[in-house]
Amino acid sequence: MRYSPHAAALLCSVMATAALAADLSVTVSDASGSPIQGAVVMASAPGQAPEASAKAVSIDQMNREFVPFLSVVPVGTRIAFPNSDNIRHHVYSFSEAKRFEIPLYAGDATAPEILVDQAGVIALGCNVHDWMRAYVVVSDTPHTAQSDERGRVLLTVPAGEYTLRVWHPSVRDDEAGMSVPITVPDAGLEKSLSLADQPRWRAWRAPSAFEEDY
Amino acid sequence: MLLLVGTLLVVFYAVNAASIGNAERRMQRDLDLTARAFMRLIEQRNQSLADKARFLSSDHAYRQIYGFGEREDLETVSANHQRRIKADLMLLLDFSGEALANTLSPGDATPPEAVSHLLATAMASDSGEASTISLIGDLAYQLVMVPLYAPDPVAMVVLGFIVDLPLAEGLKRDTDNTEIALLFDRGEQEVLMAACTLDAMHCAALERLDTHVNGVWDVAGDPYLTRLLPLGNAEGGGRAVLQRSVDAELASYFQLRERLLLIFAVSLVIAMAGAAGFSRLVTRPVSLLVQGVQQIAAGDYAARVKLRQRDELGQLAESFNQMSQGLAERDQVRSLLGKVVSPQIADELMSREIELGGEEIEATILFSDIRDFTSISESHTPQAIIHLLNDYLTEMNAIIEAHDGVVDKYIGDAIMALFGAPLQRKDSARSAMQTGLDMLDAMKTLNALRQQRNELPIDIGIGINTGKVVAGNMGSISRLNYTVLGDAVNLASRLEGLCKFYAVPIIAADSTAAAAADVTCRELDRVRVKGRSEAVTLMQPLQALPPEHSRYLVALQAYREGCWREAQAMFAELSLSAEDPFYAVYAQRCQRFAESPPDADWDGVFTFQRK
Repeated sequence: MRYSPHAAALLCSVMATAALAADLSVTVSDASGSPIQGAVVMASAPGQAPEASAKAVSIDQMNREFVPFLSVVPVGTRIAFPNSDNIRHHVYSFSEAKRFEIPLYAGDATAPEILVDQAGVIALGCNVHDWMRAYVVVSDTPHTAQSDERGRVLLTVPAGEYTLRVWHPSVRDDEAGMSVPITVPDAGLEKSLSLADQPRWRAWRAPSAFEEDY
Repeated sequence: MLLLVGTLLVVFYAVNAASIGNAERRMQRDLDLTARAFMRLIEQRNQSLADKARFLSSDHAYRQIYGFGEREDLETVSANHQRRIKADLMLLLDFSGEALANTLSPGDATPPEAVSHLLATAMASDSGEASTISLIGDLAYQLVMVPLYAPDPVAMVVLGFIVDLPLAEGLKRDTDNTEIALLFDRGEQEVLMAACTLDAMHCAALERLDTHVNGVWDVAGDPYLTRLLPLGNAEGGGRAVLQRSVDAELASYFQLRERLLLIFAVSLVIAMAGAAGFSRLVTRPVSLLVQGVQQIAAGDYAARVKLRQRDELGQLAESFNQMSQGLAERDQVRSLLGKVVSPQIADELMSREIELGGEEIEATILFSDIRDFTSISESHTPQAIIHLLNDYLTEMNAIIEAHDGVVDKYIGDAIMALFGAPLQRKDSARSAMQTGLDMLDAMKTLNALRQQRNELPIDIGIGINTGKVVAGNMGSISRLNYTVLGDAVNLASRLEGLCKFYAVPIIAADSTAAAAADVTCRELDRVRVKGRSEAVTLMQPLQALPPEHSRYLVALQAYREGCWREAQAMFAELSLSAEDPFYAVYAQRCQRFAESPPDADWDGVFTFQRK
């Protein structure tokens, strides 16, 4: 099982504040039952806000690609966009969660930082390199994790009612199974989510950046 | 000629059928190729338009407007971009089908039906792109739809390009002048013609033709091979009508057919002329030759065939001419021969192969001669002599031929005639003597005429003898006569000579008289001529015996018995009483014998010492 540092921090925070903790186990699979790895699973409940990291998260631009491809950050995180290439890039997002542009720039000395202050998914692009993209999942809950190779996510949450949301780059936003209300009893809950594979259209592929479809 | 015409017809039919068949197959093939080319052109245009749309949809300014702007901003930018790529409409749709921008009808959130259909197609596709050709209002558009990437697809951009005549004309140019019409079903029955490259009349006719079947369409009376192709997707209801004029396609064939007909006509004329010429070369000479042969058969040896050819027919004509000339010459020779020699001899000469030598036959020879012709000649001009002779000889000749005699030759005024040669006859002796008598009769008539003209009478002497002669062609091989030779001939000549001596006009040998006992004869004398030991009895053929004949016989008997004086007296008396100078000959001889009697053994034969 893999945990992101943020998830681990959130887990600690939850365990410190909640008297009754329950295990929420979520399995994400596609329509054919194959596990989906890397899906972001978020269980939100009112009043359970994540703690923003003081340190800025970095999304680098290397070899004409954003690195990492997918970042999961709590609301209020600052994101820096260093440019490790020796060419200019033009980072933009017209996603509702965050609309911004960093016009053509080079190097990382002047890497601008962006504050993500709204939950949602931010699709990042480069104006001059159509194939470049990256996603930032801005989570409004500390109960956030990515599925492992078996498509599993294990969250420890206080028993109660949650909105369970799943997001994956290859799953469409309006998928019905993306957002479901759940109630986590004290004994914990095991939840399976079956998502339809949705091929996403791409403008172009990078000449050499993508050896295979993600 | 019929064979030639038949062959030409068969060739023409075969070429015609093959050409039309070929043309139709080629038209079908061409139209297949054209249809494929047309579909490729449409597809290429789709690709090209999609490329344009994609470029536009990736435009950052457009993304910025999408990201930050209001609807009005989107619509003005859309209109701007639409102009950039010379599109006729531009829409921006969200994935739910709502129009975020609409240059066709600004502010209208409901896209045209065709665009909604296109969105469904695009959403279902792998690429998120789609295209079609469809009606929007009264206009046909080629529509392309591509996602707007930011960088993920956030909306759909639709570009529309009006499909009308200029496009159809361009397609026509690119498809080897295939006529193109673009039709769209509108509603249940209505059909909208978005473009038509035919002329107005044909377009109007085509619009009324509501058929969905490939094949040959009758468009305003002109046949068009037609292929229907669907345009865009099924909802568009559009179809392209590709047409090629059958007449135009067959034009080159019709040209070929005209040339073929011309060639056939020319070859036919040449063949006919050739046949006519050939027939003139062959049939005309042949018919001329036939005419000539018919003339020859009719006896016209003047027939000639004039041919200026150097071939076998020309040689034949030449040979024919030589033949007819030969025949004419032969005919001439024959007729001349008949004049030169007697007709019988001419026939004999003509019928037999001419050879020298002869055969011994019995014949009677008649010699005649004009008495004292020399003195007559001196008293006449040569022309008069020839005239006299010709008259005389013509008359005599007629008499001789009337008795089946043959004139052997003329020797000056003398005539030698043959009886029983060359054709053997039994009564040659009688014929000869009768001829002699007739000749004497004729001389009487002639002399009567001459006397009327105060001309001196002509006396002739005739000698006739019958005996063995050799008859045949004699002379050299190049020039020969049919004649008779022998002692009998000489004797006849001698007898003729004796006429003058005995003062009688005609003397026949006893052999002749014996051979024709019914001819009246008077015995003249018994003589032994020179060169001949045998005695001959001279006989004179007569019409009738003279009244003093019995007294003559008595006198002759007295002479033979050597009673010279008595005989002399009797002959003298006869000579006086009868007008016959013959008796004087005997009277004179008896007188001489009385004075100088012959030998004792005298046998009554008078011997001529001279010729």
